[in-house]
Order: sequence, then structure tokens, then C-alpha cells
Amino acid sequence: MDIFGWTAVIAILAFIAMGLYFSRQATNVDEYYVMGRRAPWWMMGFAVMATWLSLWTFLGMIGTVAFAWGAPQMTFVYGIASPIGVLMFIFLFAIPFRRLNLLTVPDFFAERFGSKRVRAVSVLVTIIAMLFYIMLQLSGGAILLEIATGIPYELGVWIFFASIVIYVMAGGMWSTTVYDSIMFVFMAIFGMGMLFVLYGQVGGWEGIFATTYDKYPQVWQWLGFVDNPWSYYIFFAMSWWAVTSVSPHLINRALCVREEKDIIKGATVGLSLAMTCVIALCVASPALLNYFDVGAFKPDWLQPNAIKQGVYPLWFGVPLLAVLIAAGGTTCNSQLLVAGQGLARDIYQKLINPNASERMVINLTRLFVLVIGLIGVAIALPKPWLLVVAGTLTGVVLSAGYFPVVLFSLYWGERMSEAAAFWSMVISIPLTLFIIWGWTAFGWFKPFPAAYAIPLGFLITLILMFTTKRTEEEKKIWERLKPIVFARKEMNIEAKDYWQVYVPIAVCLLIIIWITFGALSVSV
Amino acid sequence: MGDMIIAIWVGFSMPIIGAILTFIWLKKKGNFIT
Repeated sequence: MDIFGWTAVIAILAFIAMGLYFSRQATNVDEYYVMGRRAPWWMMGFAVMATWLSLWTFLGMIGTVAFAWGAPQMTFVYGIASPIGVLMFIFLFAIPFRRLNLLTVPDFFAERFGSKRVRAVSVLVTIIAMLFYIMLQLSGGAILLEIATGIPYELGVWIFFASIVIYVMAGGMWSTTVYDSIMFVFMAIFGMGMLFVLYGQVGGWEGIFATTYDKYPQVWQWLGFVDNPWSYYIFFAMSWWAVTSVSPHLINRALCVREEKDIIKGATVGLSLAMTCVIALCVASPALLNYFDVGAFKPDWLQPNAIKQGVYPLWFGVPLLAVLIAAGGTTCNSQLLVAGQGLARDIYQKLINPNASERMVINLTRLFVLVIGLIGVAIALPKPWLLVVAGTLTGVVLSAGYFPVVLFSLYWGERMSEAAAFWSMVISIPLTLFIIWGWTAFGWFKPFPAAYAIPLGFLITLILMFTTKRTEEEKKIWERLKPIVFARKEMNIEAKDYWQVYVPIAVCLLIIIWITFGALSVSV
Repeated sequence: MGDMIIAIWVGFSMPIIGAILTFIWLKKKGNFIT
């Protein structure tokens, strides 16, 4: 095994140790599920953004920019347009959810409608959405290990699985959130660092912009190497708004903070850093064309090959590999946890055995995390065709049912009925299967299936909302919850803490300005 | 590099404009921020 192999092994052992260290805090259900609601603002914000930045950002996106989309398109769509989803997350969803003092996200549906069946179906949708994404991350992590270290794919899946599942089982939300927030700092440093290092390696802005422009001008032009219509990118961004803003694995982070204003502060700072990191990655990726030709290998393989073949100096390449492994873990761990919580608390404790003890609930959560992880491994191992559509499937199922239901149950509460919420989510499952089936088998729903899921989901939900009536009991529940959700509260940050927000934003702005002047300085 | 600079700055201002509009809307509705 070479230095990269050892790095992967040591990094994974260190990640497990770190997760296990913080698991000491998880002593009861409240601590295990929502950290006893004492997460500081930065921990919550960083953890949300670490989850948002997945393995795709550091692996798939690099190759997609350099080999397919080109830099401007990706900068616009992924780096920037989709943070609107984060803003929607903060203002539209996370704050109301935190105000309701929920323990899990399906609790919202149960509280909002006083309904067991809505709780059950929301858990089902959550698990479908999470499972495919978990599988995608496991597979991506294993491909990374395979190329960068030579560890066989099958073993890689198991290693990656073990690196996450052990500490999630032990420490629940404590391990997951502390781990994610620490890893976010490294992800931001190494994401922006990739630009700085490549800047040095390829000879400044000339090497990044000019020589790559001479070789492949498309990489710096709007449509890149592909001829997708504009609508593709707009709908791509829109489906990510839906996924980012209501994803249960992001919202359950917001349940952990002390007070709602910490969500605004944490996510704003985290978002600024994450955005700048993505912009830096988009600018840096084409620089790899100095070393590789377009289409030399699959886009996903560009980054691991760059590490392996010494494009980066060793002092940067070695920790970058560890950061890549962490990027997969930060997304996967919260998804495993949210699926386990749904089964243990929302299905078992709330619907089957209300007398279950706290210890029982925690242990069951651990069991379900393990089981769902194993199912993910079982699907990821044979590298099925399903992998290609897994990310899309998550996007479609969340945009088709979950998103309109959550949106309207908060912002059109006078119309939203329990029956509409239930049937809308039930219908979203066959609808998703239909969209994916039509897309893969017949090439329907082009160019981007989630683009159809959003309008179809909204249409179905609206039809159901106008054809069903709220019961008297539902009306009473909403009258009771409405003042809590929309309470007038002082949300401003204290003046002495302004710097905690302004300093990171100023640093980000400086980097953006530096890049702009760099782009202006070359004559192409 | 024109496309790239436009992408960065047009895009960079989008979430900022989005945030401002959200603030204004929520303030008008009387929620969240007083």
C-alpha cells in the first residue's frame, strides 16, 4: 500500500475515533436525537453546510466542470443558484420547525395534523429518499478509494460503511454534528485551497485561465462542452431548492440549536463559506486540463487521478484525499441517522409500542441505522444501474411529495388538510417510480426528471387541498400551532457578535474579488 | 473570461437579493423579525 492507501486507513480510523469520542455525550433520547438542544450556532451552520457539500462537490463536480458543463454554468447553477435553497431552508422551514420543539422531522406531520398515518407515510418517503442517497455516497466513496489507493471496490464499500456507521450508532446526533462541523472547516480550507495550490502549480492566472482557454475554450464558455438547453440548468437548480430546503437530514440539524436566531447566524456564515468553496472549486477544476485531456476518463475519476498522479504536491494531495473521504461521510451519516430515527421513534415508539423506554428507543435507532446501512451496502455492492438514477430518485421523491406538503402545511395552513397531506405523499411514491421508469426506459421527462416532479407534485397537492376539507379538530390544531410558528420575536444578532458574521463574509468576498481580478488580468 | 465573471457576480448577488426579499416579505407579514 502506498502513502495514499495509508492515508485513507489512518483518516478513517481517526474519523471513527473522533465520532466515538463525542458519543459520550449521547446519554438519553434528547441528547441522542437533538443534542439536548445545546448546539452552538456555528456547529449547526457548519454541520448543515457540510451535509450539503457532498462527495459529489469534491469528486463529481470537478470532473463535470472540466469535462462537460464548463465553469460558468456550474458556478451559476450549483455554486450559487442552489444556495437559494439554503435561504429557503433557513427562513421558510428550519425556524418554524425549531419553534415547534420537535424531536424528529416526522414529528412535524404528526403534530401538525394530529395524524398517525401522515407520520407513517412521511417516514416511508424519508427512508426511500435517504436510502438511495446513502447508496450513492457509499458507492462514490468506494470508487474514490479504488482509484486513489487501489483498495478493491467491494472492500471499499465495506470500509466506507464501517467508517460512518460505527460512530453514528454510538453517538447519534452528537457524533454526527460535531464530526460534520469539524470536517466542514477542513472541507472549506481544502476546497478553497485547491484553487490556491493549483494557482501555484500551473503558474498563476495565466495557467488557470489562459492556457486552458487555448486548449479548450468551451470550458470557460456558457454552455461548456454539452448542448443542454437553458431550461435544464434552471430546473436543475430548482429541484435542488426543493431538496435542500426540506430535506429531513438538514432540517433535523436545525432542531438542535438553542434558539431560532442561531439558525440564521450559523447557516449564513456556513453558506458564505460553502459558496466560496464551490466557486473556488469551479474556477480551479479547469486548471486540471493542463494535465489531462477532456474525456481521458469518466468525469468522476478526474479528482482521484489528479491526487494519485501527483498533480497536487504531496502535502496537499494527502490531506485532500482524507477530506474527500470525509465529504462522503458528512452527507451519509446524517442520512443514516434520520432514517434510523424515523423507524425507531416515529414507527416503533409512536405507532407500535408507546411504552418503549428511552434506552430501548436509542438501541433500536442504533439497530435501524445498522440495518439501513447494510441495505445500502447490499445495493451498492453489485454497482447496479440504479446508481445512475439514485441521486435523481432522491430529488424526485422529495420534490414531488414532501416539498409541497411541508410548504403548504406551513404557509397555506387554512387549506391544507390531513387527507391532502397523506394522499399527496402516498401518490408521490408511485409518481416517482413512474417518472424514473419513463426516464430510464423510454427517455421521457427530458432533460431533467426532477423538473417535472416539482410542477406535478404541486398540481397533485393543490388538487387534493381543494377537494378535501379540514376536520374541526385539524382546525383547532392549526389555530393552536400558528401563533407558535409565526411568533413575533427579536431575531437580531447582538452588536458585539456582528464580527462573527461579517469577518467570514468579508474573507469570502475578498476571495471572490481576487478571482475576478485574476480573470480580468488575462487577455482571452 | 466574460462568461465566468458574469456567472460569479450575477450568481453571487442572487442569494443576497433573495435574502433581502425574504427579509422584506417576512417583515411585511409580521413574522420572525421585529
